[in-house]
Amino acid sequence: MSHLDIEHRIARIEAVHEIQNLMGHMTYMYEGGEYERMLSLFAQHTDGVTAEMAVFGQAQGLDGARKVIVEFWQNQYKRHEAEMRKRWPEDANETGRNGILDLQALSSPVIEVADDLKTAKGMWYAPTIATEFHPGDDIPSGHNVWLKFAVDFIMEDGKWKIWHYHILPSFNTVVGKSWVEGSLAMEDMLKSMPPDAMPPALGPVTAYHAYSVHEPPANDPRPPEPYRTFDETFSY
Amino acid sequence: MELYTTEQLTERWEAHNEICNLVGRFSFYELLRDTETIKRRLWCEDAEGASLGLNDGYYIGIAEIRKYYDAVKASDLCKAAIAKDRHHDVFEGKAADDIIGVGSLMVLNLTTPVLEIAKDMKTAKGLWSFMGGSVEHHAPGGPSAVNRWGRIGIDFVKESTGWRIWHMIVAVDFEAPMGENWVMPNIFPEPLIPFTMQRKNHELYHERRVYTSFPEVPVAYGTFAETFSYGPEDN
Repeated sequence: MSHLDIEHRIARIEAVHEIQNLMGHMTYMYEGGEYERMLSLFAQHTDGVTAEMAVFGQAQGLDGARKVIVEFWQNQYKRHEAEMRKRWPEDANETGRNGILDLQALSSPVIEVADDLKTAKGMWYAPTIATEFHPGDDIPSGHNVWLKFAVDFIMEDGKWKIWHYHILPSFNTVVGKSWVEGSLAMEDMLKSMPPDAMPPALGPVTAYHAYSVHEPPANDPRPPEPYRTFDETFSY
Repeated sequence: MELYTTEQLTERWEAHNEICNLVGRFSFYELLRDTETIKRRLWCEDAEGASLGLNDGYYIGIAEIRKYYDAVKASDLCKAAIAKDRHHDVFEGKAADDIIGVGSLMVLNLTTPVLEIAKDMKTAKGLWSFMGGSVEHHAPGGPSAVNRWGRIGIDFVKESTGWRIWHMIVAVDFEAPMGENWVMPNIFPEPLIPFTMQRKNHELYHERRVYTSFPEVPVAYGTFAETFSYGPEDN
């Protein structure tokens, strides 16, 4: 039997579903290229907001989150747009997003809401696809990108918001190629990326283990466990 | 429509969330190749008639299920040894135990849940689709990635330590090398250890396969005696 009163327990149950919905919104905004709107799902006036993706390091504050969530993807798809306009100049392409198909499927959730209802933690694994027009190609390429989301949430003004946001791609391979081949080619791929594709390091990499044929799987970051207050648990 | 007290409703939704977390953890422990935690933390300890079903048979009883996971671990150690043998320079000084799970990516992306908690709160049933992958190490050219999709049906039982897996059936629809059409022949490897009960539960996809909705989708129920089992019918 829980030590919490019933209203508290109900609020924790509702929190799980609100958080699922929040991540769903995040996903659909990403798919639609609404990167600025994605920022609105982050805590707006709570200290300690962070955003981290792959090898780019942990960015601090909302300004840092903007670099990870907004600027990276805008830059990425500017190149796509340029190639699309070259290839099909007759297309209107009003939004610049013609030919983009980015889909994410959030699966295998583990969500823990703190007893004090002030924070929550969630982890998802997501098979996703992405579409990009690489310079030199004739048409855009489809990519399989499977990744882990590790997110801390905080209650702000009566709403759940993203507090620490960490994306950890396991692999990114062109459709038809296996992630084993991708792993072996990863170093070459990073070397071949144009310099402006790689933003300057945003901060230290707190944890990142891409799939490697030479490495065992890493439990870092690990799924959340039940906890009472945030100072008793780890941070994503 | 069932009428529950507020306390009962709260308990039912807490159970729902706890079970979703259990299944999410199962997915992540599979990814980590952590068979010890799967055995110790996720599977039942006391419930009679536990079973783990695959396409071609069942392991029945918790002792047999634990032997299966021990065999999985032994297989992972063997794969680690193969990797160590192929890449002396990378793994010099490391034992196979140190690198267990090396190069694996056993992903079970569990989606599309249908989860029912029994009215008596003693059991629950859930069905998920999985779109997953893994890596096979035995290919002559080295590791190769495999797409594996199917469904998992799980009966859960409430024990003193919380909700646990009681019966599980993993029905794989196809297992095809990455980049290859799943219409190509799907062939399962031999089971790691002999089944307690050999049974053709589910056919791998082939172009003339007759579709069957297996495992069955759960519906609301009162007690376990009123519903079907994700274990063998006579278990």
